[in-house]
Amino acid sequence: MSNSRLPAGGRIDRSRPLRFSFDGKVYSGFAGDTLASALLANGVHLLGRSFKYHRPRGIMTAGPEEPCALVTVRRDEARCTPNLRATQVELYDGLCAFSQNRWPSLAFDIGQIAEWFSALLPAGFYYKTFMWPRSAWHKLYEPLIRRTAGLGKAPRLADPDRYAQQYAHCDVLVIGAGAAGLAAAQAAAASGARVIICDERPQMGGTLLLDDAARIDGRTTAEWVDATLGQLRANPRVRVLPRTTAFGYFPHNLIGLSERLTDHLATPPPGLARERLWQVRAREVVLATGAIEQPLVFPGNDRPGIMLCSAALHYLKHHAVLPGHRIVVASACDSAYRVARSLQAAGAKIVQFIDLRSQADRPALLALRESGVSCDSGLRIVATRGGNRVTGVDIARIDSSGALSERRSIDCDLVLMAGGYVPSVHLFSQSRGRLRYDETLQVFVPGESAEQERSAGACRGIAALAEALLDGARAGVAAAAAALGAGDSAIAVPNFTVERSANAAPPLDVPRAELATHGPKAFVDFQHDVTLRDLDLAVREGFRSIEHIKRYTTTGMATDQGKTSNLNALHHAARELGQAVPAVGLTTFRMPYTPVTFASFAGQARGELFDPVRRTPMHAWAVQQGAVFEDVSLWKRARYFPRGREDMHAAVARECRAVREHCGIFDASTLGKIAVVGPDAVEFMNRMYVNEWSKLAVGRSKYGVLLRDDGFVYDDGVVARVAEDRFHVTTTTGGAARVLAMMEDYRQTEWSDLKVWLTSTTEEWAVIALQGPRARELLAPLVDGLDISAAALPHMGVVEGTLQGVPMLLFRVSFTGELGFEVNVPASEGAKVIAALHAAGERFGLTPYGTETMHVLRAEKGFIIIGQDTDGTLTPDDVGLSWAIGKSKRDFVGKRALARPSMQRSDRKQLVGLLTRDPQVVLEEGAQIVDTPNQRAPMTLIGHVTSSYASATLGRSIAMAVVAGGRSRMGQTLYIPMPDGEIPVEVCNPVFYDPKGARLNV
Amino acid sequence: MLLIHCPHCGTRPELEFSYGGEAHIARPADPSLVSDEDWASYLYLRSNTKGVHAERWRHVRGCGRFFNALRDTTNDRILVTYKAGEKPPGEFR
Amino acid sequence: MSESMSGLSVASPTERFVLQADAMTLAAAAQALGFDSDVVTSEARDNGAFALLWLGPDERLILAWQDQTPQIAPRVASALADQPHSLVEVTHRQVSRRLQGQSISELLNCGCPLDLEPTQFPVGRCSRTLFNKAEIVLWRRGSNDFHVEIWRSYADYFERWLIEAAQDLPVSTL
Repeated sequence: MSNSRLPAGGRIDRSRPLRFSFDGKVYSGFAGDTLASALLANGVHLLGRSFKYHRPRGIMTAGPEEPCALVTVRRDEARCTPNLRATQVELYDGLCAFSQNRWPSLAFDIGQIAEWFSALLPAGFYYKTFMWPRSAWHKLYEPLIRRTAGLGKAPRLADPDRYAQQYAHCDVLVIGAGAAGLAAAQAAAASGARVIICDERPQMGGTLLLDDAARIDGRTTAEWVDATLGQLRANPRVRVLPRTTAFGYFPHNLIGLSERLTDHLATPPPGLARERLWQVRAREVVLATGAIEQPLVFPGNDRPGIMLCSAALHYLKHHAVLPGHRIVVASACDSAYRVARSLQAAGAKIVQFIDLRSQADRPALLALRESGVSCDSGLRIVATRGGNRVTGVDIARIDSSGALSERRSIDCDLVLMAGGYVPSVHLFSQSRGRLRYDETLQVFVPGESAEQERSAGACRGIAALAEALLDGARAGVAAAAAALGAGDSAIAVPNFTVERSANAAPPLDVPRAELATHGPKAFVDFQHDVTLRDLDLAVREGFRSIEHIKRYTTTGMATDQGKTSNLNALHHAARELGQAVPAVGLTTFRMPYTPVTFASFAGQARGELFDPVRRTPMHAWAVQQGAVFEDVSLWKRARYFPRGREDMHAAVARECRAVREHCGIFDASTLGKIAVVGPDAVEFMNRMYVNEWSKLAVGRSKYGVLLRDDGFVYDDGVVARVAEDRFHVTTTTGGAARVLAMMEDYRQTEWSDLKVWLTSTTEEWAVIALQGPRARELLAPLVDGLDISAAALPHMGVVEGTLQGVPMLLFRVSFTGELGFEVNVPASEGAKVIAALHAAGERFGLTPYGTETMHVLRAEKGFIIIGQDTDGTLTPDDVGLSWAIGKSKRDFVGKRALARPSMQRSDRKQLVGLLTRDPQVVLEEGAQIVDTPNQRAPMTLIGHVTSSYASATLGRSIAMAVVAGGRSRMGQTLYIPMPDGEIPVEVCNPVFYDPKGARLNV
Repeated sequence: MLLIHCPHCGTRPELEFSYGGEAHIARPADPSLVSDEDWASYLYLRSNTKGVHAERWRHVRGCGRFFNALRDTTNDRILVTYKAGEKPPGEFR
Repeated sequence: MSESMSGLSVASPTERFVLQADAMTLAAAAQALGFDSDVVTSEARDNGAFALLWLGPDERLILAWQDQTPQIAPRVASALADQPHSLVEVTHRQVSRRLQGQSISELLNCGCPLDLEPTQFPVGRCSRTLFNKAEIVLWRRGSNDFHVEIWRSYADYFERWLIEAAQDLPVSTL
């Protein structure tokens, strides 16, 4: 192990050494390390290559704002997560990480050639360079760019891990568990509120843990954090969620949290979910999200070994790692002095400290100089040296003309930057709160709220420990009071006695834009490789709004969302434009705060749980019969029942013949059913459906057609009157829910005076269709003496009875054109009844058939299927159903629309039959129709094929189609243009089989 | 996901509701007396308000009732909800 | 069924009916079933023979517990003979599940978006709601005891999800 690790200190467990590998090389670290801290402890600074120029990049930060140190962590072929911030990856024994965006190796990257040609890659290079020729984009430029640019690769295998989701509610959600957050949670919990507190880090406490000299109520910060967390955990109304990122603030105080459950474990227990997505509905939210230190912009500021001051302090205090031994500190604010002293105390040498501010030397600087450190005010870093790690810097004074003086070179192995702190206002901004520019702090802070939330502590510019604690406590009290409906004064704000605290995030007291040092490769956005020069170019080319500058240069658009670049870019653009910062605007902060896995959003809704899989009561019977199923809405329906080696075509032909010649049995349970009940049921039906229902006798049914008020066919189905005040309405399988919803809409909002009510009975009944010439003789012996003769139960008759003792509603209906019955029995009895019918039917040649055969049989009869032969633009007349309309009715849904002239034009598309000239040719459903072949493209299309089958009964193909003015084209030859030529077809009546209906009325 | 106050059941998550378009557009009592143009506007023309919009919701996964809401389309805030058939409360008219 | 799911059991009423009518009629029906009064908004009551669940202002779900012979229709229909109403049998439309155990409301919150904290969803509260993509009627019978009604073809989805989610329950201080 390198001497970067200190022998004592830090919050690591030296008794638990861990081995891990990076790019195949094995290193060791300790429990409590992140991948970044462990690599730094091993002297590894080079972690990746940059997005555009493939420049070597290292570790810049110690948190979620990290723009550079993106790695892939791999457990196995499938468990391979790209683009993780090494600063947030917790080390475990056996962790296996890889650098990204490099080829053939990290240290020697052929893509770095891009940097030599970087003149070709200015801002907006996508828009400029690859404009011509157009065809080259897909063939040449894009594949090349994709190969050399980009981030890590997603694994190709399906994600084998499990992901949980959870809804939760609380009075107060506290986001961030630093000083302000912990104080807020403590205060809110003390008032009796239900509290959830989350923090993205494994250890709660935030920057409190770095402030080890401070005392809160006489305790060290670490002791105070432990005690406070202990209290919170012991409270049954508080939930403490470490390793949990609040990634999105959604309307009405819904916050998305992503909890990482197993990523830090060497061997995750099998079956344990990897992540949990929380959807938390909070009455009140306290945002205590802290502040993020900003880098400085100077030439070559991106080399490995150049990092934020706060990061160095973090590695020192948390992980006992000295990221360098000969350190140059470049600071624009007072926080760096404390860091320099800490590093010095830990054994590092501060070889040069420069305070960018040009004012006279400050007391802190003088004090540092007294301790033997070379300190200067008003100097800048004007160049850096080094390949895969910084080896030195050039510093100089720059006068107003840009001339350099006092230039000198300094050797070093670490450069620290302190560019001031920026409040983390991402979640506040996501909540659509209005940000306010604070001229003093030169940052945006939360202004007017849009949601029930308040910010506390550093995220609103209050950074000093005592103030942050108090601010947090006040926010916690106010949030609890608001959530519980109590007055603010009802709850006391706790006091804190704070001693010896250093101000963690002092304000920047020089203009931010003046901190930038111009020169080559002065990076603003480190992840997207956007430099000062790119921003200058954008301004020179006329971009005025930060929204446009952002899109043109792509600054702030990488996966880090500009956490370390937005403000620098904005200040620089404002200066170049000669405008105030707020006038140039701030880009929108978008969710997620840090990337969230797709699997987390999917949660448990994968595979069998993606959607409910609805099965009928007779599903097991169909499985037993060897059914092949198809999905119809959420239902599994038996499509066909192959025997032996039959394919679908053969099975369907056999099933069709069986129904036409003997009898078939079919599970029709999925049809929607609605009980329409009440004294005004008949009036309601008259208003909803096109048909006349007043004269329908009890014990009779008819085919009903439902339109929308725009006059177009919406649904259909057989409707039975089972009592004076009671209709049994059936709908299509897919239409069940929407038909009920539409009926409820009219019932509740238009005709609320009607005494009628609707109840879905779809699943109350199992429905078994028996269809075929032998259906009656098969059924008669089973219905316990009920007379089902043609006289007693004619076509469209309905009767209640029992079937072997099971209550039954029996319909004599046919969707096949054959003598047919639909046996409705209580769903719980469906399996028993179908087995009984099937057994009894054996000697009649009873054959199970599926939806495919049902489709063919109904097409032979010209019966339409809603949604297949209709598409929401066809009137009843278009599909040949005007006979169903109750002509004497004053009104029904859709009637008025049918009177519009356009609905009555003779050239509307109308349903017709098509017969191919070659009877063996089966048309493709959806194929377009033209009236003359040999047209030049684009041809004039006059309709399309809606249904098409090979009919075993007719020994040829049949098709249904909608064709403009189709009914006036009977006998005409039309053409179906296909890739291998036009298919000639003859227009005919869509009823292909038994047009007189003789087979029905037997 | 919005929180919506059902006038019958209280405040519930948006998941339980379905949206029903603009409110207070009554179906003409006798459509046969309505001109083609008026019928077309009844069917298709909606105000598409920027600001406070009266709209229908149904607590379809709850009590099943349709009701009306005044929602500010600029910020998704629901000012008030009231039962179907009622007019918006006085202060919002 | 895994051990963690020992709280999931079948609780089958012998009959189920949906009754829809105006308030007066619903009150008469409640009395016919042996209740002092109708249930109020989001309330469910059980008198041993019948359970009466509020589904909507004009809609009740009636469960019968005891006899195999029809109980609900004869009582309600005769009591309401000349009052407009709709009484529809849904005995077979749906199935019932009883969910009991320490963390049962958290388990339900894997798919149900309601706040099930006892002050927000107290014992005796019932509501139609969602469990992920399935509609359910949720009735709290005790602090850790829920009765769920679900359409029969969704029951498998509901149970599978609960079994899956039971593995993932947050170790909770709640």
